[in-house]
Amino acid sequence: MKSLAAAAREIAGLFIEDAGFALGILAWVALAAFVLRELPFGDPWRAAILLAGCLALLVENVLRAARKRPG
Amino acid sequence: MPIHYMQLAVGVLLLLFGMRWLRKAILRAAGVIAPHDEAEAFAEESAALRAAHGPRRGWDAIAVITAFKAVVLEGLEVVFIVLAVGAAGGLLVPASLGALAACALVVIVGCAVHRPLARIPENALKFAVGVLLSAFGVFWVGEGLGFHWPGDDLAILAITALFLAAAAAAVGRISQRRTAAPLARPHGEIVE
Repeated sequence: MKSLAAAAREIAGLFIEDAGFALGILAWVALAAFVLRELPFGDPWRAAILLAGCLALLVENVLRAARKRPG
Repeated sequence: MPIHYMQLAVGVLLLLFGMRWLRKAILRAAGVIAPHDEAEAFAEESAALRAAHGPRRGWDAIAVITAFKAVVLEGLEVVFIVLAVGAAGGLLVPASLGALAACALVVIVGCAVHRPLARIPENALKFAVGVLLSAFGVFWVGEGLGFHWPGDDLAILAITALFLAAAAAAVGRISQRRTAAPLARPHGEIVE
């Protein structure tokens, strides 16, 4: 049982390292699915906003992580 | 199963996987976390195994299990990438053949020139792969949600370029801050 749990943790670790970051990505995709899709934008704008959100999440997360671990 | 659900599921997993890699590669490139040295990791793992079980000749079950676990985990990443790139685009067979060819190539090249291979900058490779996986992830999520990408499949090139630009800008910004930080006085003024 312990080895199964360890294996599950290792597999989950492939996708999740910073839980806040992973939750942020999932929340942004959910927002895109339920809110962005309903907004009166053209399709290229929806796609561009989806991409911009992912880029913003990434940059914000690394800048915050760097502030937390000063050199 | 409708293709949109599959694209969305694969896109989300690919996005989580790719952005996790890219995040780590950015932090390593900016010097926030230590770069990963595969040769050093191998030496440490081997030393730990020797210290725990002593030197052995012939068949070493512990070493086999350790290597098996590491390869299974890395292999899972490959299986996931093949499924993500192949299944959502209906290209499972070419993607699997590509992975098989890459596996054979890595084994042959690894056996022939494993020492020079250890000198390849691993973080740069992971940075590039993180950018590509993230770009494919966003693309498939958009497709799964029914968004239309300008230029259709060619949009992947633009998305890749934007991820690369954002990641490079983040590395530059963090490096700049870290260079300036030790020179800052307690009241925040910067020493020239």
